[in-house]
This record gives sequence, C-alpha cells and structure tokens, in this order.
Amino acid sequence: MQENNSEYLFSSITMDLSWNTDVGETMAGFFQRLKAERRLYGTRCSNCLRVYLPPRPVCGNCWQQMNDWVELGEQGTIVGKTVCYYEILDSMTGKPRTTPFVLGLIQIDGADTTLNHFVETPDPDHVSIGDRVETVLRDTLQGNVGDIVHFQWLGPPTTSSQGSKK
Amino acid sequence: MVYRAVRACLDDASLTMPEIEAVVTASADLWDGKTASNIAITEAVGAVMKAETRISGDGLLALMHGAMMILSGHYQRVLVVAHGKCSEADVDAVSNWCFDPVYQQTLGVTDSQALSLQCQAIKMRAAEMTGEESIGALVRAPSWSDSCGLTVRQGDGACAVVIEAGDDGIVLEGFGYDLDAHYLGDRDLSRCDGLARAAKRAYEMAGLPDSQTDINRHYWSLRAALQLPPWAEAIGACSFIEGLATLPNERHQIQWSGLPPFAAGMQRLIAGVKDLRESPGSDRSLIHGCHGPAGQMQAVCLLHSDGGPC
Ligand SMILES: [Zn+2]
Repeated sequence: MQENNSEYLFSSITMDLSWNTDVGETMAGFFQRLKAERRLYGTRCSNCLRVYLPPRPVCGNCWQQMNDWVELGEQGTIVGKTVCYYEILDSMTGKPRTTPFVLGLIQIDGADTTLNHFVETPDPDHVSIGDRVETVLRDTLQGNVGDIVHFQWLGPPTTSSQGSKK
Repeated sequence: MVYRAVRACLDDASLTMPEIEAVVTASADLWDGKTASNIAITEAVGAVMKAETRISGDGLLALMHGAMMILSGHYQRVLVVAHGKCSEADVDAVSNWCFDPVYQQTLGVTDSQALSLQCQAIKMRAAEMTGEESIGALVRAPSWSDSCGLTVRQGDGACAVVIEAGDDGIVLEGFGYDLDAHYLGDRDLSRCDGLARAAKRAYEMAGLPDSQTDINRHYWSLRAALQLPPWAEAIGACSFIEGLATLPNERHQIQWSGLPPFAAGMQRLIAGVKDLRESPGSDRSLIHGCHGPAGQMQAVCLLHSDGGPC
C-alpha cells in the first residue's frame, strides 16, 4: 500500500498568449483626436443626447450608433473616489504604484459618463466628491490610454473652476 | 461588425430593438482575448437593461438557448448573436490553452493537430474499408483537394437572427446537441458519435425517424472535407462509405463551411433560412454546428417551412 507522504504533484504552466486587439473605429477616433489636438472627445447619442467618455460606438440606452464627436473640457469633477493603501502593479509602468493613491471616477466637463483614473494629490485623505481635477497628458502623445497620465487634484469647486455643465 | 449584423437582422425582420425581449450571444473568451467576450458587444447587441446570456461555443448553441427561453413561456422574442474574432489571436497558442492543463496542454496539442489526427483516423478507416489504393486516389482527386488541408485557420465574422414564439413560416421543429469526451484518445476520431446523438435528439423532437435520407437541404460546419463521411454517417444522411465515395453528391444538397469559428453554425442557419424562404412548397433543412477539438461539441437544428411567407 502506498504511504501517505503528503507530497503534492503540480503541473506547472506559464501562460504565454498575446493578442493584437483592434481598438475599433471609435476608440481610434478618440486617440487620433487626443494626439492631434491634446483634447478629450466623447461621442454623443443623437437620440438621448448623452455624451459618452470613453466614447462608445453605440448608445446602450437607445441602441443608436453614435457618429457625433463632442469636444470636452480639460477639467472635470470627482463623482466617486477610493483611497488605496494596498500596493498594486501599475499596468502602464509595470512598477508598483506608491501608496496611498486615489482612484477616482471623473466626470469631464461636457461628458455624461465618468472616466476611472488616478487622481494625483498631495493628500489623499482630503480628496472629496465634488472636488475639481485637471487632465494631465504626457508630453509626447502616442495615441493610447497611457497618454492620460493622471488627473491633478485642484480642490473644492470655486465659481471659476466650475465647468460648463449641461 | 457585430452592430452591423444586428442592424441587418432587425431590418430584415422589420423589428426595432425595444421589441426584443432578451439577447443570447455566442463567443469565445480566449479567441477574443477577453475574459468575458460579451462585455465588448453589450451595447452593439442592444443588451443594456435586458435579459442577456452568453454562451461560450458555436452560435447554434446560443440559438438553442434562445429557443429554450421561448419554450419556457417567459419570452416571446429573442435576439441571438454569434461572433468570432480569431484574427487577433495567436490561434495555435490559444487553441493549445483550450486543452486540459495537465496532459494535452503540456504536450502542446493544438486545434490544428487535433484536426490533423482526425483526418488521419478518417483516412485509415476509409483505407480499411476501401483498400489503400482507392482512398489514395480519392484524396488526390481534385474535389478532395482540401481533404488533408486545414481549410479554416481563422476568420472574423458576426451573425444575428431573431427567433419568436409561433408556428407560422419557418419553424425550428427540432434541435439537439452533444458534448463528446474531451480527451482525443477517448474517442474514435474517425466517427462522430456526438453528432449522431445530437441529430437523434433533434429528430426525436421533430417527430422524425433517426435515419434521415430524405432531408434534401443540408448546411454543415466542417473544417476539412474529410470530415464529410463521418458527419454524413452520424447525421444519417448516408453511410460512411457512401459519403466517402460520393460526397458531395447530387442526392443531398450539402453546403459546408467552417467560417467564421463560433459564428459558423449561425451562418449555416442563415443560409438555410434564406434558401427555405425562396423554396416553393413545403421543405426541410438540417443545420449543423460544432466547436472544440476535432468536433467535440456537436449541434443540429431542423428547420421546416410550409412554403408560406416568412
Ligand atoms: Zn441614446
């Protein structure tokens, strides 16, 4: 009879798969505009007038294809946030992101949906919902998500920092 | 691509998206390079705020899922969408990942290798039954030029259909599916018993006898011409040896294609529906779909038309 020596047997696998995912016509339009104009653009549904950022090809509420591009503001409002104390690997740099850091849901002026991205701030605990942020782009744009470095925290809204809300 | 297919489908059916009650989609995560390949098409298929289900497999399975939703009595009209986007993936690497992680994956087995093993098994069976010379001649004949070739490597495509409760026009009178053993060595690859069981279930549901030699319209999914004889045998269209010697023949109007993966079964269905629409009088079609290494998963749908408008 076989002795129970508590030895586990494993099959070791390293996943080595790669894809070239087409970003699609709509995201290509977003990246091209970002690169050419250093501006964020959203797509607007001609039926419900909702402005999507990131832009989507089809409005999910109306099942309507969106071909209208809308130039958006450089600033936005934090509508959701979480302060992260647990270190994660930043997929854009491959290095751990220094903790604590703020992950926010940012509604860019002129958009109806929110972007999730990092909020750069000297004091994460003092970031509040409703605070204003400014888009920070990298110097040389490449036409991909990495072009948006982070959103710089500006503080609570003032009359001058309030964007044109629809 | 997916939106265009859905748009064309609804236009063809003279329907608007609010008239669709539920959506079933078919796609494969690994081949799409996403951990949930339906997330990228939620808006395109109009599934936002709707009952949505995703099937990881050939589109005909999604169609059957939609049919079962209707048979449950809770839904009247369901949109079924299938898509494949294999061109963005390293097909061999991805298909290797689809095998069990302890044995076959470790050996580096790929989809193409599985198909190749199946073609060899079919040729060996054919050689035993006919003599090596004749199979050699068959394989070299021009109509068999694709026999050993892996005719379908990859391809992108999307298909959409709407099914609804009712018994007018073209009726889905029977369907069945079957999953064979995963290990290639557990099956006789020269046969397709999974397809035989799937077809049997479809015939039973339609109230038809098992051996179907009088269905004159066949729409099959194949990746190599050599799969024709075992497929024909399993479906009951003719014997293996008849299939080997005479397919494609005049007796059965067989149209076959394996493109695009995961949308192929639905593409066969749409081809069948289009032909039935144009056929005068009562007619019946058999639609076949499959996925997995060497046709592990098999699905059969039977369509019947009374010749009326649809
Ligand atoms: Zn809309």
